Amino acid sequence: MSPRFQLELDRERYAPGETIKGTIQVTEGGGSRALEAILEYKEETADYSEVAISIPSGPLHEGELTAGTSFEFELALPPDALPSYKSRHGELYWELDVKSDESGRDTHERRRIETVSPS
Amino acid sequence: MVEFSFGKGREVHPLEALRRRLTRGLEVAASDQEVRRGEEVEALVTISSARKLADIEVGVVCTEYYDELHTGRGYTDDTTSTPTTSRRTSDEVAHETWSPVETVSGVQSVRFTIPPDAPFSYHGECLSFKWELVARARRSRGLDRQARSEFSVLP
Repeated sequence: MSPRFQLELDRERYAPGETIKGTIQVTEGGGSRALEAILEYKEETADYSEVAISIPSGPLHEGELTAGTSFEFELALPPDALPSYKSRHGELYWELDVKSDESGRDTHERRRIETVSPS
Repeated sequence: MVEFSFGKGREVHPLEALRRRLTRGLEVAASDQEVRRGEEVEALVTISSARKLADIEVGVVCTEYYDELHTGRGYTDDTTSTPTTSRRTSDEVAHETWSPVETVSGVQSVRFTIPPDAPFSYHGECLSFKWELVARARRSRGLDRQARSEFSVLP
């Protein structure tokens, strides 16, 4: 059985260079090889999606995930992080991808990160 | 007039020859290679020969390049066609502003404001935004003239 989890972040918006602090709550336990959080800058068109920048947390946990446990992580936006942009045919945006590496299909919990200009 | 030759050491790619023909007598450049959104970019238009040119204008143009899945038909033999898919890059103007330029020889300056909510320069795998200054002129006979110069728009 695949695990399920919820993602909680300390804020809704972040400026370039700021650190995103989050907690992964395991709501349903299940088999997993490794749990990781990855901060990505993504390009998306109607038909394609690419990851332009990938900032991994490294393994937060290895092995079976048990319901009720939680894992904290911190990931920093680059000081020169590009902003999000939505155009007529595509979109650029930051996304946090919490991934459970599994023998079958991996489990993901994704959350878009809203970036703001530095004040 | 044919401008490209195939003599050893003097080869000019046909596309480069065409570009030279299209831009002869007309040049455009940005005074600053990088500007931020909301700031101005200064276009310097150089007309070396205004003869035969008309309706000269300069513009700032942002082009969006985006990959899309193209579905077509392919033929496995003379009679059987099968659906085929391929990845293609399409483009569309995301922003453009144009301003007329006097039809006189010399250098003229035109300033454009980059809208704060316009795209920033970005070169990606499936999505890109390219900013250029473009000078164009109509000719009474022959190909219209067009010169382009890329510059960067920072977020």
